[in-house]
Amino acid sequence: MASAIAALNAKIRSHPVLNYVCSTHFWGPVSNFGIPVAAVMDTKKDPEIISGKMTGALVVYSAVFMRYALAVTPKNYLLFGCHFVNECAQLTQGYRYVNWWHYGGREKALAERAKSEAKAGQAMITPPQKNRRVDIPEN
Amino acid sequence: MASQPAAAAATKTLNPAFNPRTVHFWAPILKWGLVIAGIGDFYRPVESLSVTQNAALLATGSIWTRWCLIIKPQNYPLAAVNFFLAGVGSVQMGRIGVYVFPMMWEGRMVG
Repeated sequence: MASAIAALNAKIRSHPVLNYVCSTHFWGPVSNFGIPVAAVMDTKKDPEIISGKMTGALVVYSAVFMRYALAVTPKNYLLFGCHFVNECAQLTQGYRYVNWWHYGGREKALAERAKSEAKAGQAMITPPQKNRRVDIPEN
Repeated sequence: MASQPAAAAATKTLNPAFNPRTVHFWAPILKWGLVIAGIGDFYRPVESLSVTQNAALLATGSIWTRWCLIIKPQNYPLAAVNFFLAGVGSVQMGRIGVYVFPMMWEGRMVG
């Protein structure tokens, strides 16, 4: 059993691509991609759910780890890429957050929502008036 | 004089890059923020916990713990942070499991 595992391991380590795919250097960044993917998906959602503090913390965190990934040996470009994507996503969320709460984004969205609701409500109470002749007064 | 070889051995094993002017120093310190936020979450009710998030913390914490020991220079403080992050993830998963398992056993929850 142990020799079978050792033989399998030797086979993996001798193959450069397989060695990389079966290494921590690969799976670490892959597992870390959950954060940027979640952030990118959140850019399509309501700005109300953005946590300003967490976004700010992740902006600093990803910047530091972008540098860290290139400062170690062996350089981990996949980790660099992961944190680069996260940095972009968090900065986008940060922009949306600031725009929403401090630059009138929320007021604008609320006004538009009120307008569209009023229009929908109006359409419900007034019956449709197709093919109405405008020269003849009604009733 | 007995301290001299000990001091020499210490400078050889201790990471010379681990000073406040390098990222090797600040990376672990920043990551403790995540651990502290996670420990704060211990006081949140179990219903509000996210299984995916805590599973991710457990998985990434353990993978990164190993990674910090196989890179050059080895970063023991960062490995420690990630170890505690994995610990936080496992505690939260345990809390969720203890809460959910009786409900699943009685058939009150699909899982």
